[in-house]
Amino acid sequence: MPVDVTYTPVEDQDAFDAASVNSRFTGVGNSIDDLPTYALKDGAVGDPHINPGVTPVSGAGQDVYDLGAPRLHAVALYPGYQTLGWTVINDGTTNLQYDFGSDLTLLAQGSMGLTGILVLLNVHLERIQDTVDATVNTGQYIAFAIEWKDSGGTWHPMGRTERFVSQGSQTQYINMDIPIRTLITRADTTTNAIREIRAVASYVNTVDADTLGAWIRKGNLIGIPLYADYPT
Amino acid sequence: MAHKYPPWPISNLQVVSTEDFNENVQEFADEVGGATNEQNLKQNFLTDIARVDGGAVMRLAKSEVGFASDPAGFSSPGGRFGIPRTNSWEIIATTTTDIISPGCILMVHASWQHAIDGPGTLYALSVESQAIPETILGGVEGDNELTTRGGLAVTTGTSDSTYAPTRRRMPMASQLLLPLPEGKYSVSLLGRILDGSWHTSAAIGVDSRELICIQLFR
Repeated sequence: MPVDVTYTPVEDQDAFDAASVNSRFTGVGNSIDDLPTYALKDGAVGDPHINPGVTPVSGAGQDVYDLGAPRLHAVALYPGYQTLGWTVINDGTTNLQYDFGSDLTLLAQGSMGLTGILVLLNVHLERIQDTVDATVNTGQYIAFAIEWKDSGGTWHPMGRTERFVSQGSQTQYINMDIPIRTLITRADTTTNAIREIRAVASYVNTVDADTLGAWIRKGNLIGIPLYADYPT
Repeated sequence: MAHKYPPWPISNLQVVSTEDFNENVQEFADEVGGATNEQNLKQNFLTDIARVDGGAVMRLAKSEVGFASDPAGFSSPGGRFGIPRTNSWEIIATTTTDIISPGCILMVHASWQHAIDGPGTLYALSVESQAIPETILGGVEGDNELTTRGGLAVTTGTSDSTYAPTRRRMPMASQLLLPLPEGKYSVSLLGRILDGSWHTSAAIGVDSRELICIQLFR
């Protein structure tokens, strides 16, 4: 779209005196001093031109749990690598889950723009519990992972975010921070847009057939869409 | 241009100077032709991020490995990085990032699955092979307390005395903020094991892992 610069050309028979010339320059000057957004070509504004207050991509935020006291979470049996079937971490009412507010379509590596979503998950795991015989040993694990939901409502587990933790015994509280970080890119999503992320858990029991639970005290899930250059 | 244009205003009864007139026009041409500055831009005009070059804000680089771990025991699944027992830093994951902005702060996030309680296991982030001290996790010193190794209580002074990290499986993460000048840098996640460790090198290691580099220009 052309810039709307106010300039009236001097035509034949027009007066060409100081007033007429100055008014023309004043009109041009005012136009340049008030350039609209569409006056700039896409990509024309670089690093020195951006006001620090500009938010590149909206949607960043977090979901925080602080349960006040540890709460026993019943979790599903580990369904297998990068397989659906995990239990969403839940404070009893709501899931540890974050909605970006709109579908985010990531650009492929080699692009500039919305190319990644940085996800930070921290969970305070107080201890692991064998819900049957109250005997916990090193062959029993709680697993944590991150999942994302596409615009169609389907959840996708992220295999590389799967993390396992073990505990010595039922009474040896571990009070451990479970930190998981991942950068979701187009390669994770193919053509699907991302709408939500969530934290999930499951258990692995290599000792017996007992079910395990996780006593969780706090959780913090952060999602930050990144407007960035992602070179190959 | 808002405060100085035109550089040579013309007064009443003034004979128009060709040079002044040309300079007035040239000023306009120069500013539009590459010198348009903050005085020309309307306040809060930048409301559409699409007008901004993506490389002006951040730049990304990453390295990732994801695979089915072996939560059942001590075996070494394919994909595990077994830390060699060299008693020196070994590269677990690395990525290279080109820093193109003089005012860049490099943010690094590393996240990994520590596998098997490795006596004397340490981890660190490095830039250009230089381990950053504040990112070091774990230890090579034996604990002085009755504690756990792999969840099993052991006593100080035995051959199995405890070193951190002390869990058979343990999620770990480290991060770093570092101002860097322009240049090309390799950023790595390092691991180190005492050469006297009782495990085989393939058993002590790292399963699924991810190393993320974000150059922050603003």
